[in-house]
Amino acid sequence: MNSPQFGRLYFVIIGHRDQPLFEFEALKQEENLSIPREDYRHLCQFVAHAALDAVEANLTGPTGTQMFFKNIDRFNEWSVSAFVTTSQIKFLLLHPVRDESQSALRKEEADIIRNFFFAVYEHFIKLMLNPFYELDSEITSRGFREKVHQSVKKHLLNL
Amino acid sequence: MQSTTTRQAPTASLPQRSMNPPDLPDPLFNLPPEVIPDPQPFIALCGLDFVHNATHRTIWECFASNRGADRLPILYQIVPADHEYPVSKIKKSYEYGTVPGGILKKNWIRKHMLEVPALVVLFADLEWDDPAFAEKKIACSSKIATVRASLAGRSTRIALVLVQSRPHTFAPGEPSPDSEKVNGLCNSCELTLKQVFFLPNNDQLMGYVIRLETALSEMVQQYYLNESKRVRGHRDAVMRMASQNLSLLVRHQFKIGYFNEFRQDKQTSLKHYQQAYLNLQQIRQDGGFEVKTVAMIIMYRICRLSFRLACPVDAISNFRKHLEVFRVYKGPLDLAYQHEAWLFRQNYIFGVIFDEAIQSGLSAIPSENPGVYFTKAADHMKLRQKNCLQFPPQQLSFVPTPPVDGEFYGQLILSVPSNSTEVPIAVYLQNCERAVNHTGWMIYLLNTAIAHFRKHRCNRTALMLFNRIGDEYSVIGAYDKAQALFSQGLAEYRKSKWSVIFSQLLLRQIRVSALIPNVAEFIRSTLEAICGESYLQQNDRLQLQETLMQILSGDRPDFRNLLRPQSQMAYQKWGSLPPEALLCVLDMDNVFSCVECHCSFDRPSFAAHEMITMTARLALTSPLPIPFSELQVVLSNPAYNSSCVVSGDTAHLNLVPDRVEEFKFQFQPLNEDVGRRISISKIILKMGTADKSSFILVWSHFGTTERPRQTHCAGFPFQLTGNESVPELQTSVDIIKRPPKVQVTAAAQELLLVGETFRLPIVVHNHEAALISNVQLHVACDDHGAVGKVTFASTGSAATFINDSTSPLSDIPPGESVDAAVLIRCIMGLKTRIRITLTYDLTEPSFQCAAETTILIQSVNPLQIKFMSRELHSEEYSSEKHVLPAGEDLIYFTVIRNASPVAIVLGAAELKFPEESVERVTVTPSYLTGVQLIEDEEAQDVWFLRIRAKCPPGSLIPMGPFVLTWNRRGSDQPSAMTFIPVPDLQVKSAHSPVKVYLTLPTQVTQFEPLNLAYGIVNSSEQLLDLHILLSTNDEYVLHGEKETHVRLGPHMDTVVHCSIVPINVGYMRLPEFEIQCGPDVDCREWIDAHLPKTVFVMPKNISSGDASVDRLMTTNVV
Repeated sequence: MNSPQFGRLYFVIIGHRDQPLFEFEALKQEENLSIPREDYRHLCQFVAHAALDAVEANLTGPTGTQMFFKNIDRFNEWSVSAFVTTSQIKFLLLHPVRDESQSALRKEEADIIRNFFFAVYEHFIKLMLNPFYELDSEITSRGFREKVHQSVKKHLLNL
Repeated sequence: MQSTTTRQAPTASLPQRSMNPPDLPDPLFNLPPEVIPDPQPFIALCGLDFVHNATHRTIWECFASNRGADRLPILYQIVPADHEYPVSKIKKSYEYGTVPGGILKKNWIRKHMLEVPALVVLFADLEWDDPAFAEKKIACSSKIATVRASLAGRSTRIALVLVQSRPHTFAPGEPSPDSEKVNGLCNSCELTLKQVFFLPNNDQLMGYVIRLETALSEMVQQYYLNESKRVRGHRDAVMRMASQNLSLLVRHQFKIGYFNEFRQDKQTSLKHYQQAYLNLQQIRQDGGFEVKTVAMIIMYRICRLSFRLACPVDAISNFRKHLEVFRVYKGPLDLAYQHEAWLFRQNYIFGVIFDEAIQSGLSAIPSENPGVYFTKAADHMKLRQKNCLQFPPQQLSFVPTPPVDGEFYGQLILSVPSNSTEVPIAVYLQNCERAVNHTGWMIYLLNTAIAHFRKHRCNRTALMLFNRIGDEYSVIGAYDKAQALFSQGLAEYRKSKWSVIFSQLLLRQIRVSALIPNVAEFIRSTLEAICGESYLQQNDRLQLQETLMQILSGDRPDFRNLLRPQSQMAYQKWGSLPPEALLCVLDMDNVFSCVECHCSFDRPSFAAHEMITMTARLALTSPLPIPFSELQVVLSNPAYNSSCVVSGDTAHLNLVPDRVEEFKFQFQPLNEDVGRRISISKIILKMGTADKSSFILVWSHFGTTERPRQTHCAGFPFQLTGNESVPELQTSVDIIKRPPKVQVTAAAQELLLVGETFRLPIVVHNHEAALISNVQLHVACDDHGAVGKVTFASTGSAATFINDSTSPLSDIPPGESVDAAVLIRCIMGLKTRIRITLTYDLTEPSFQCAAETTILIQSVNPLQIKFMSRELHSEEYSSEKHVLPAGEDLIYFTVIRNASPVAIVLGAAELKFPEESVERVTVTPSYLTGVQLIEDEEAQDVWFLRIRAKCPPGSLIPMGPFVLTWNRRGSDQPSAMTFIPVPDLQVKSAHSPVKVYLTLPTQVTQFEPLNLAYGIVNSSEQLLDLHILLSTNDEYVLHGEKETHVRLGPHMDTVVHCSIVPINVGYMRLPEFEIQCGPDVDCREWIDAHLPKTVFVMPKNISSGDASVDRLMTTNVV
C-alpha cells in the first residue's frame, strides 16, 4: 500500500454528458511524488467518475434541491465533496481525509470547501455569460484557470 | 420400508453453512459454522418409535415438518430414552479466581444448541381404560427416572405426553373420573400436573401438536431464563472480585446474550453482547488472534441482531466503530497479512449480513449498500496478497495443513508432522497463506460488489470495479477475460471523454492484447494510443509506435519497453503465431485512431455528363510517419470501385505527422445511376507488406447520415495544418440528368371556362447542336390537390381527357421550332399549376434529357343560372321557391347570367321534365340560340307549364336537368354542353274550393269607367251558396251591386260584373272582394293571392301608345 497522498487536491467540473470540462490538480510544493503523475491523475479521474453515482443518487433523493454535498463518497484516503449548479453542472473536489482517527469531515472543513465551491461557482457563472463559451464544451480559458488557482490558494491551502 | 433420508431425519445436526464460496477456501478467520444460524430452543423427544410405529412417525412428522415462519422456532430431536446427555461440570467457587485458558470455548455453542436439551419430552401410549394401566404406569415412571438420572446436575425440564386414541374430555373444575389415575401417575413419575400432557391421536393431530408445542415452548422459555440467571450469578461473582477476570466476564456476558437469543429476546441479547464487546476491548492483546476472532463472532451477532431489529443504521455504526477499534492492532510484522485478512473478513461478513437483510425487505441507498463492503473486502484482500507475497518463500519439508481452532475460539493448533524438525511458526503460516487463492477471492468479491452496485444504480462505480477485475485477471494470466472487460470499460469512457482514464485503460488493453496475443486488438489499440489526443507520455507513444512499425515490417516485435518482465513470454507467443494471424481487417469505427480519414464528394450533385470528383484527405497524429500501401474508397455502386483506388506505387501514401495528404478521384457516372444517389459506404486503408503482415483499416458507417464524421470521432475535430478550411462533408452525391437545351414555351393568356375545351398552344425550340428524337410532350397537373379536376388530352385524334397526357412530337432538327398544343378541360373553377415536361433523346453522345416548365392556369364557371316560376294568374312575383298549385297555368323562367369576363355564345337550351307530372301548355321557340353574353349580361328563357291535376298536393316533382349548349365567342373548339341541375317543383298543398279571377285591361284612364269582371269558379263537388261583398273607398266611384248572392253548382262558373270610375291618378286601390260561403269554405287566401289589389290610373290627357307610359306599365306588371 502506498502511503496516503495527503495534501493533494483534485478538482473537476463535469458537464451534462458526464464529460470532464475542466480539471485542476493542486499539489503542495514539498511533496514528492511516490507514484507517477499520470497514474495519479488516472486514479483521481477514476474516483471522481465513480463518485458521480453518489452525486446523482443524492440529486434524486430528498436532498435534491441542495447544491453542496459534503463528503459524498470515499475512496481509500480520498473524500469527495460535490457541488451541483442550478444548471446541473457538477463540481467535484477530491481531498484527503485529514485525520485517520477522524473520519467525519470537521465542521470548519465543510465551511472551507463550501466557500471554495461558491467562489468557483461565481467564476463559472461569469464564464457562462461569455458569449464565446459554448455550454458543455471544454473550458480552455486561461483566465478561468488562473481564477480557480487563486481560489484554491485562498481557500484550500490550509485544508 | 422407510427411505433412508426419513430414517436419518430425527438426528438433528448443525446446518453445514460456510460463508466462503465453495471453490474458494480460506483458513483464516472463518466464522465458525455454529455461530452463523440463529439459536433455536432445543427439545429432545424420547419414547417415539419412529421406525416401527406408524402413529409415532406421524407425530414426529407433525413436529418436524412444515417449520415455516408461522411456527415457533424450535429444534426437535428424537433421542432414545437411555440417551447420555453431556455431563454437567460442577462449578467450583475457586474457579472465578483462576485464569481461564481462553475466552470462548469452542464447544459451548454447539453443546447448547444441539446437545443439552431445554426440555426432554417422554411420549407414552397410555389409555385411561388400558387394562394394564398399572404396569404401563410403572414403565413410564422408570423411563422418566432414567432420563432424570442422565440429566443429573442440569436444570433441563421433563414433560410426559400420553398419546391416547380414546381420550376423555372433561370440563375444567369438574372432578375427572380418572383424576385418581392422573394423580397416581404424577406421583409415581414425580411430576406435577403441569408437566403431563395428553395428545389425542385423531384427525386433528396437527392442531393438537401445535397447541402442545405452545405449551412446551413456555417451559423452554423458563429453562433458558433460569440458565441466563444462573450465568448472571457467575458474572456477578466475577464482577465482585477485586481483580476482574475480563476473559470470564466476556464469556459470561456472551453466554447471557446467547441464552436470551434462545428466548427470542433480541433486545436483551443485544445489550449483553455489546457489554461483552466492551469488556473484550479492555483485554489488551495487541494483534491478538483470539481477541480478534472473538470480536468478530460477537460483532457478527450484534450486527445480525441489529438488522433483525430493523436498525440498519445502528448495525452500520457499530460496524464502523468495530473497525476503528481494531485498526491499530496490526500484530507482528511478519504476520501483517493476518490483520488484512481479518479486515477483509469483517467487511465480507458485514456485506453478507447486509445482503441478507436486503433480501428480507430492507432497502439500501447507493452510498450504503453491500457492494461498498464487498469492495472494501476486495481492497483488503489485495493488501493481504501483497503483504503475503513480500516475504521470500521458504519451503517446508511437508505440505502444511491450515491450522484449526483448539479448545477455544481463536487459539490455533498447528499440525506439524512428528518427524520434522523445528519449524518457525511464521514460515508455517506464510506457507498456508500462499495456498489461498487471493485473486479468485478478489474477482469473486468484485463481481458480487458489481452486482450490488448495479442493483443500486451505481453504474459508474460498477464500471470502475470492472476495470479492477480486468487488472486481477491480467495478474493471473486470464488475458482473454481481462481484454473483454477492458473493451467494455473503454467503450464507456470513450463516450464520456475521461481521457486520462481512457488512455491508461488503453495501455492495459495493449499489454493484455500483446500477451494473448490478439493481433487485431493490439494494432487497433496501438493506433488509438499513439494518436495525438492520447494522454500517454510522448515517450510511451514513441515506443508503442516503434513496436507497431516492427509488426508492419513483418518482424517479430519485442515488447521489452511495453511489458518489461513478461516481454519474453509475449515474444515467444508472437513467434508461434500462424502467418495468417498477421493478416486482419480492423474495424475502425468508434476508435479515435491516429489516422484521420476524411472523404467527401466535391459537390452535392453532379449531372450525368459531368465527371464526379471526390477528395479523400488523410492526416496522421502519431509521433512518427506511417507508410500505407493502398487507399480505397468503396462506393454504394461497386462499379466505380476500380476508379477510387490509390496504391503505394502511384502516390505518396507515406503519411507524415501533422500533414494532410489529399487524394483526388474522378469518374464518369453510369447511365443507370442517373436519378439515383451514390454514397460512400466504406473507406479502406491498407498497411503493412502484403506478404508478411497486412492490416486493413475499414471505416464503415461512413456515409450514413445518422453518424457523420463529427460524432464518429466523438468530438475530436479533424485537424488540418495551415489555414485551409474543411468543406462540409459530402458523403453522398445525387446524379442528376443532363440539363436540357430545349426551350418549351407555353402560356395560358386567357381565363379557362369550366366545361369548355381549351387549347393551350406550346412552342418547342431546339437549341441543341443535334437533332433530337423520341420527343414526348407530357402534361400533368403540378398541384396534388387539383389532380382529377383538370384533365388533359392531346390534339388531333379523338381526344380522351385523362389526368396526364403524353403526346409524341416529331424529331426536331437543331435550331428549329415546333408548335404543339394540348387540350385542357376543367370541371370546376380553380387556380393551379400545370407541368409540361418534354423528354427527348440525343444520339451522339447518347443522353436522355428532359426540359420542364410549369404554367399557371385559372378557370372560372361562366354560367350562373337561376330558375324562377310563378302562377300565370297570380298576383305574386315569380320566385325560386317553386311551390305551385296543380292544374293551373305556370310560367317557368330560366335566367342565364355570364359570370366570367369572357364573352360566350349560347346554343340550344332544353329543359327536361317528367311528362307524366308536368305538361307543356304552349310550345314557344327558344330565343337563346345565338345570343351572345358578355360579362354580367343575362338571358331568359320561358316555359309555359302546368302541373297535372292528379299530382297530390305537397308532393315533389323532380325537374331537370337543364341542358345548355354554349361556347366561347370565336372558339374553334366544339361547343360545350352543360347539364345544370334544376330544383324540384312542390305541389301546393292548400286547395281552395272557390277560385276567383279578375282580368284588368291594360290601360286605365282617369274618369273613364273601368269594368271589372270577377270570374268565379266552383271547383268543389258540391253546390255552393256564395255571398259576395265589395267594399268601396273614396278613390273611385262604384257602379253596380255591392252585395250579390250567387249559387254555384259543382264545377260551374259565373261572372260578377261591376264598374268603377277612378277619380285620382296614380295607383288606385281596387275594391276589396269578399266571398262568404259558410264556415267550411275559406277562399280568402286565394283572393289575397290572385286578385290584383291596385291598378295604375293614367291621367286623361295622355294619349295611349306613348312609349314612356308603356314602359311604366310593363315595369308595373313584371
